[in-house]
Amino acid sequence: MSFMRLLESMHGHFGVLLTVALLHPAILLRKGQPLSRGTKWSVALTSALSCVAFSLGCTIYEPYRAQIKRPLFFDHPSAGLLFETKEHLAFVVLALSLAAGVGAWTAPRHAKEARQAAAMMYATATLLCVLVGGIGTYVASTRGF
Amino acid sequence: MRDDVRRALPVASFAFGIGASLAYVAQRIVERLRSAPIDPTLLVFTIHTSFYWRVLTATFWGGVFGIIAYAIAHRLSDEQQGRCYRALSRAIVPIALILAYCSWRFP
Repeated sequence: MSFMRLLESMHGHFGVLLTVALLHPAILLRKGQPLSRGTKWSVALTSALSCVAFSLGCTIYEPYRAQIKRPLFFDHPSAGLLFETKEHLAFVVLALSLAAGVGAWTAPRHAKEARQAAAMMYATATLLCVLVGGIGTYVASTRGF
Repeated sequence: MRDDVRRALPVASFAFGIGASLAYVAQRIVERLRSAPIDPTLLVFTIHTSFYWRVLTATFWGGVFGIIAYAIAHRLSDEQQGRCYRALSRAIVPIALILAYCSWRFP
């Protein structure tokens, strides 16, 4: 197994983990209660995980462009275009999860609606992350490192 | 942290998230509309740094949106901020669906 293949697998596994991790603070924050110690851990770890998954994607992006992108577009243009879609949605997931994390963390104790809005942002990020994971799995099964 | 700062930070943070997402997709739409359809034979000449620059630029615009939202939220009462959060909760899923559609339509 090549090193790039290993990074690609790690990126995929972190992505699937992130889908589940994003759902956790969405559930914990839905009632808008002040952050407990467990919720703080959940929010912090989810933000960290989204950064790790996105950073791994950025790390393998250059070798992807050099080795995979052209044959992928030649053989399966629709899969190539779907990968571009996944790339854009991944950034949206990162932005929403970080924004929800900071928003939930900094909200004053009485700002129940702020935490509920953060929960909705996490739920939305989960939805998009499912799409990103599905597209990523499909593209990786079509052509990988 | 001062209470008035703490009150405005979640609004700024949410504005950053939505603003950065919108800026990213908007940039991509502009790029796609200005260029021809993707030609696989020319892909090897596309630079990978355009993605990183797009991410950085979108993050910058997210920051701008966040600062503007912070300045506005500073002057709002608790009740007005509550209304903002409720509106955001209702709007976030449709916004995400529109972004997903645009990302698929203009990949």
